[in-house]
Amino acid sequence: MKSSWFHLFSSLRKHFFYILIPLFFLGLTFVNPSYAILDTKESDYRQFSFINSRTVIWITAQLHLMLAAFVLGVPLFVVIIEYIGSLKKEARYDKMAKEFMALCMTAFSFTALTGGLLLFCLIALYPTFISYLTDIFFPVMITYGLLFIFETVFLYIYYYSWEILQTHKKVHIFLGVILNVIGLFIMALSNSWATFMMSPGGVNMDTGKLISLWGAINNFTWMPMNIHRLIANVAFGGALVGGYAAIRFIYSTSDEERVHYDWMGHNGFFIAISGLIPLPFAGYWMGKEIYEYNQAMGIRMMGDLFSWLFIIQAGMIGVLFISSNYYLWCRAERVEGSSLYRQVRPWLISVLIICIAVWITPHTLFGMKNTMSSHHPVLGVLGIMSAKNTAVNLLIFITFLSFFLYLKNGNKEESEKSVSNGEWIIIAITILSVITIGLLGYTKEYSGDIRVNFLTPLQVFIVLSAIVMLLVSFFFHKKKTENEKQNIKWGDMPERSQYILILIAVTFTSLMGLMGYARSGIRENWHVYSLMPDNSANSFTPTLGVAMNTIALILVIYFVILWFIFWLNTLRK
Amino acid sequence: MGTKIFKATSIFFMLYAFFGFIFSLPEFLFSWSMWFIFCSFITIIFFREARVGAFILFIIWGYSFAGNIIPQQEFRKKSIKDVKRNAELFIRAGKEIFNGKGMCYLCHSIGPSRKARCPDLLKASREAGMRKAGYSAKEYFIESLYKPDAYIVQGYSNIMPPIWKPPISLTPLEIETVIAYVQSLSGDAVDLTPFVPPVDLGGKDGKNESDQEVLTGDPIRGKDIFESGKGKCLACHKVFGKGGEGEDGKGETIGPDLSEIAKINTINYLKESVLSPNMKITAGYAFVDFRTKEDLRVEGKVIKEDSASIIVLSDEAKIEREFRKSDIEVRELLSPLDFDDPVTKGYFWVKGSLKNGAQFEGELISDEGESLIVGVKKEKVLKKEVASLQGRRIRRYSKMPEYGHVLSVNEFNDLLTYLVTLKGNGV
Repeated sequence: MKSSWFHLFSSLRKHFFYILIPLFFLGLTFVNPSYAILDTKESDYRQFSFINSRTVIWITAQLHLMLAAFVLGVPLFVVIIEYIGSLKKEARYDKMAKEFMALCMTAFSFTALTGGLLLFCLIALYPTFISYLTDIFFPVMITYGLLFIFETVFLYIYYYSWEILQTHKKVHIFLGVILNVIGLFIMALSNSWATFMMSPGGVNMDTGKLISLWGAINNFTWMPMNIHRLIANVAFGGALVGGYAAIRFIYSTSDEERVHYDWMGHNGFFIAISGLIPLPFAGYWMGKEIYEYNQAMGIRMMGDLFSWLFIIQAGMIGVLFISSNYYLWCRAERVEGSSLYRQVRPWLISVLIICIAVWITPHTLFGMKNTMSSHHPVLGVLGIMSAKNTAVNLLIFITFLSFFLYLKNGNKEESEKSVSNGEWIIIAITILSVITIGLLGYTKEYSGDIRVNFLTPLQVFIVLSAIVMLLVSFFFHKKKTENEKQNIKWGDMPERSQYILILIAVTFTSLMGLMGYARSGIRENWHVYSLMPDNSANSFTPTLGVAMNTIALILVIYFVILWFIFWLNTLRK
Repeated sequence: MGTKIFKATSIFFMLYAFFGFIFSLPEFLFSWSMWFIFCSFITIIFFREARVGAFILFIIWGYSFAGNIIPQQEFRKKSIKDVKRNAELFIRAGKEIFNGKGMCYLCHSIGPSRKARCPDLLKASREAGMRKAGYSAKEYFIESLYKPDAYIVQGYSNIMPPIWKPPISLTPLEIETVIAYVQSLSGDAVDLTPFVPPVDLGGKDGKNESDQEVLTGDPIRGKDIFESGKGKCLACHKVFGKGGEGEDGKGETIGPDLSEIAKINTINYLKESVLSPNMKITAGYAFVDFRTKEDLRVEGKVIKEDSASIIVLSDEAKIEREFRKSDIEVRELLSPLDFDDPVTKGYFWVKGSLKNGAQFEGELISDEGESLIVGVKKEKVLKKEVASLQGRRIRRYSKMPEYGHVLSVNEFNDLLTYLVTLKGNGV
């Protein structure tokens, strides 16, 4: 017991460097705020001789974001898994939760390193801009620094007290909850200046002077970004640990290992898919707020320069949905009594493909503007929001159905009816309602306002309600048949299913990289949109090819770091 | 040993091809991709240890490749810094702004489109000229572009942002070129008349952009333009005792002395005088052109003038002659509705009849838009009631050319910046 506490404090001492970073922010309290000149000149920037400043910031910031998303996302579900383990009194949950946290610990160090590197690069390369941002968010940055110290302390206490507090599980879970609450605040605070750059608020738009700090924090895109990142972090963390488990499964040398990592991968996958299902809704809200803030920015994003980017994004999400469904189908093959699931599978596949095809149909394509129309003459019908919202809602609902049918079938004998009539009625009404509302969007009677503020939320509400009703029905039914257990053959999954988990993890990461570029890119030639212009030599939007290549480079660096983290984790054992 | 070398070679070439793909020029992407696919497939098929790594690399390559095969467009906000006041150049520049920095094409269609968010602009120029009485198409466009909520076309909502403000931030010149482009779409003649933005561009912090536009010119370059460049103003105007003697240095002074011009006049007056010299002609420097009852055409400088007569120094004979204004030819005005601002056109006396048969005759005092004020009794004559109209006219003009057609926008700014320094105490 004593040695464990000693180990905890010696670990804190060893990681003293990371505590220095928030202290740097504290040091800023002695800096006298003076408002920067909003008109930047080319001499306000510094350059490396061998690489341009923007690429340096791009790579560093994106790496930091990806690592931070992992570090903030994993503890969210680790606490839940630990709680489930304590309720079920099953040691394997506890073991898995601790293994996830072990990955998180090493990743935390790299997050702090890349964060420090990003900060120094910003100060060195974009001094005028970072000075202005510091002027505006001075108190927020101080709070961020303090919270970072608390996060560090609680993270180490939470992890290193795991064994000590085995007999006091509630205390340990409580520590995990505090850790997550601090993590959420850290994420929300850093989102404030990131979103301020996109949709500034709380400042005089002529002089840039601060009028209300809360206005600057709570700008148009802050809350949608918080929600979107929170959900995405969970999905991303789940996908990555799923990918980790898949690699361990592929290279496992014993049946015991295969069973453990199959189960771990399965859980990682379910965490990822639980985040993936509501993520498009959060994305829609975010997009809507961008339009509300500035039409020009919204149009630029969805219908112009970034239209192709969103087609690639839709393609990637399509890959995520199809591969998620494929993994579920592979899993269902290993569950006795999944005949109904096999019967409906072709229908599910067809609907999925149609929905993805509609989703990737563009509204207006940059590079096709010489057609002298703001809509494509043939595909324009599928490019509008009514079609896309219907496709996305159906895509989400079908994926949920896949998941639902998998759950239902696992509990039944082949001959037994697994989905009740009531549940079929809910499914049918939901699909018909979503399609009907989608078609109503084409009629002239409904203005844009009604479509955006009533019809689309109604579609989302119907899908979410149906999901909740079906889940309630499932759990109610399950309670009545508690003695029935899913007869899952763990460790018996084909290797290709594990590559699907890796594909999901890599696609999630690629998607994050792509959307990071989109979020930055839609600001165009502004550090702070409409307020502080970027007059550096790199103040232009690169081609999507260049962007994708840069993202590929970032991903390679990121996966090398992850590989190093995973390798360290194997050494620990 | 051989297997190890094969494995190492395969992995090396896979990585080499991958980084070659990332850093290569677009024209070599396919070549690098072929190599990468080949090497990664070999690694995936033959080497279990490196299979996962190769698979991850393959996915990353796949997405990157997808991003490279779609149409590529690098976007830099191109601004129009300067352009000569010429219809063709304005249209070309306007088209670039329309499809680029201005982002107009995103919402406006050119030709009918059921789904466009904003009005079709193909025939907009013709419709614009008729939408508000007394407004030319250009004036209507100017007001619509600076104040997008001023006129909302029926069936469309008020979604257009003020394009002169950030983030679009079109300059007055860019807005003017866009108007020229839109006018050209309907086949109409492009109106190149300069304009003053109808809004305070600078906001509350005193950064008045219209003033900035003037003051950011280079006075040294402006002086060059004034003295010896395109302007050649010194040929007609005197400044601090220099110039005003004709191009050959022997002529007469035909323009006023400008040594104190900025001391007594506003910037807008200077702007207007350079761009449209006929709008306000300094007393003593006006030239006239009229015909007498005997069909004699008279052209020359006004020496003296009162309500009954005018003394003109003729251009050719260089002699002074006095004419009674009642001896000037009476011209028929075919349609009173075409009688647009007759005072500016030089009509000083009118005679006509109304639809109800009543007659009127006398000095034309002023034009009130819908009516004319005529005679010593200041009789109000409604234009729409006029059945026939005749008038006497003296066209007045300045010999100064309209420099908007001679100078580029930046040259004009330089010249103006020089002129505002002429306050009687040297440059």
